[in-house]
Amino acid sequence: MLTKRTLIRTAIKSFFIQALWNFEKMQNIGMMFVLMHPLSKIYRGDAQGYHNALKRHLDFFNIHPYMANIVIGVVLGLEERVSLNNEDLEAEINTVKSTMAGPLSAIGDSFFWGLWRPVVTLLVCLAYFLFFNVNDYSLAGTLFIVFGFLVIYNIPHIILRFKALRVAYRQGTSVIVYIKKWQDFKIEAKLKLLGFLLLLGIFVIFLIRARLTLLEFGKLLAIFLVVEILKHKKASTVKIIISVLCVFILLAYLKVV
Amino acid sequence: MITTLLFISLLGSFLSLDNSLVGNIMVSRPIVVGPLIGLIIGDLNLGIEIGFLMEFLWADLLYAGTAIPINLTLFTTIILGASYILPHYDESFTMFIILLTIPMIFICRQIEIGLRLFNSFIANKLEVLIIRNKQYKRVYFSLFHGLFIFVFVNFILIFVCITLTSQLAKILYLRLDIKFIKALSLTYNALPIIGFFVLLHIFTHNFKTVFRNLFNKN
Amino acid sequence: MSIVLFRIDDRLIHGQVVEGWLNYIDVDILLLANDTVANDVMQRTLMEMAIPQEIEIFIDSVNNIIKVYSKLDLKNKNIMILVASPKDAYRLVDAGIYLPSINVGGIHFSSGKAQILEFISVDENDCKYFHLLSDKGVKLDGRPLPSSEKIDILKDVCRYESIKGSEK
Repeated sequence: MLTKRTLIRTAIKSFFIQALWNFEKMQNIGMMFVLMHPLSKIYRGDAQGYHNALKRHLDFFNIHPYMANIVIGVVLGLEERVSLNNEDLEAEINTVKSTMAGPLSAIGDSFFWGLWRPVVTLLVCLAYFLFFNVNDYSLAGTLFIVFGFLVIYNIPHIILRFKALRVAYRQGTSVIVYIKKWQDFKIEAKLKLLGFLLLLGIFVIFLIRARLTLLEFGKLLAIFLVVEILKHKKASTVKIIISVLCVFILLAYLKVV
Repeated sequence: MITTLLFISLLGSFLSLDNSLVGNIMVSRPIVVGPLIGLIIGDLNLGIEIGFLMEFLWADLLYAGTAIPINLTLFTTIILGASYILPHYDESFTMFIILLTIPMIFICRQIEIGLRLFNSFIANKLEVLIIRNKQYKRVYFSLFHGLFIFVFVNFILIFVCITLTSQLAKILYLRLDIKFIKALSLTYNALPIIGFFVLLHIFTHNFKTVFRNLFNKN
Repeated sequence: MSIVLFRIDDRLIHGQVVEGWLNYIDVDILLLANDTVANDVMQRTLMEMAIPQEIEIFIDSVNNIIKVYSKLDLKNKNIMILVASPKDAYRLVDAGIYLPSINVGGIHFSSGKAQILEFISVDENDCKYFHLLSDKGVKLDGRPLPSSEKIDILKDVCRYESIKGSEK
């Protein structure tokens, strides 16, 4: 049985799981690095078992770093069974690693990086516009942006990393029930709505503060139209910037602007 | 000036570790890097502006598995560093620096891919050592080794790119046509709008079905 | 009815598919053809969870997916097909699910394979089916994400074979 201290140490080490990421086996060394300490506790006095276990985890592995601890917890539970009851679970451990990684990464990518990050950025941006004088950049404003973003963004995933390891270690693969429950809450759709509203809020603040004339407003609409068409055609940001620049160059030489 | 420049490069290279190798606590995002470097170069205004712009413009950039995207930390650092060397800028000049940095950032991406291929080499060597010789503690050395190479290469890259961009900008900008400069300045003002649409498309993809699901009780 | 994407990816559902492709193209129905996943309840649950709720997903063995495909009412629906190996892809194409271009998104490294691109490792069996697919007139478009540059896999497969041949 692993102590709480070991688990916390493992969770801290899991921040390094992507170090030495490579194209062949991706996070294999990182995974081994994270598992070294808890496995040495599990296989205490069993050098051969420890060696075999580490060897197992040098195979291909790749997962979203925030979700890694779920798989690590499940793997530790299985390794403990191997050590205690001498069961042969090598195949099961490998299946768990390869099958859980893909879908969990997808959830992590689409939630944390696809939605949570832009929403927090917008939140910080809106708060900055509301509470600070935008034309007078101050040290307080700078620190507010940096730490506001870091604190709000990091709290959920750090809690997830530490808690998931413990829960997954105790409950094995049934940990996915919790994720399923979490999904019934429809958090992604809610975040999408929140992000949309925040974006709208920033836009409204901009319109109020800018006090545009009719002509300026017309120009703004024209740019909107160009960018929207390009974005609708799935152009990348670099392409959009270059196209907008080309349009402006054309207009400048035609003496329109 | 040179010490500040070296310090910026060092900070940028260390922060870019977080992007894909250590922690992922997002200190590598432009929204953090921009204001921080703005603080160092004594230009809060530009730091915050570039930070927000880069963050919004590339908000949908995805770091997933084998697809290595452009490195936004390097991007932000190079733009701010180059603006620091040539402080008498206006909007069009900043836009010109952004334009010059774009091709460099794609070269940096190729170098990062090369580094990861080199990582396979380190990882395979380590694997042999562990499986044959049971040298488990070697993993600390190898991790440190890999991270050190990454920081070192990025440090050199940022330093070289800042120098190159600023010198190129200095030479080329004076020869630009006034109309081209006007277009650059207008494009810089249009950047927030492009960022707005990038975010809008994140939140409104499959808009109808998502919200139908949200308000559907079942 | 149209197939908007046919992808070969041995990790099946992960970040590149959900965040990269599903955000890029409009998909109504996702058909996942894989014999091992079809029999594994945990894996199926996880994969169903990872897909956005607005997309209908069918996870089944390759043979059943062929049946499902012929039975489904696919009018005005955009379909995405996901398989793990070139072999499964060939079985589907052979059964008449045809698309001019197949996306090869990733086949990861394992022992006995050779890495031909950063995201693709193949063995002789994979090569054989890549050639069979190409003989059917299918273009092999290798890229992990929609924003990556397209690479014609066949050239690299041939290069791998010439290396293998010279080793023998």
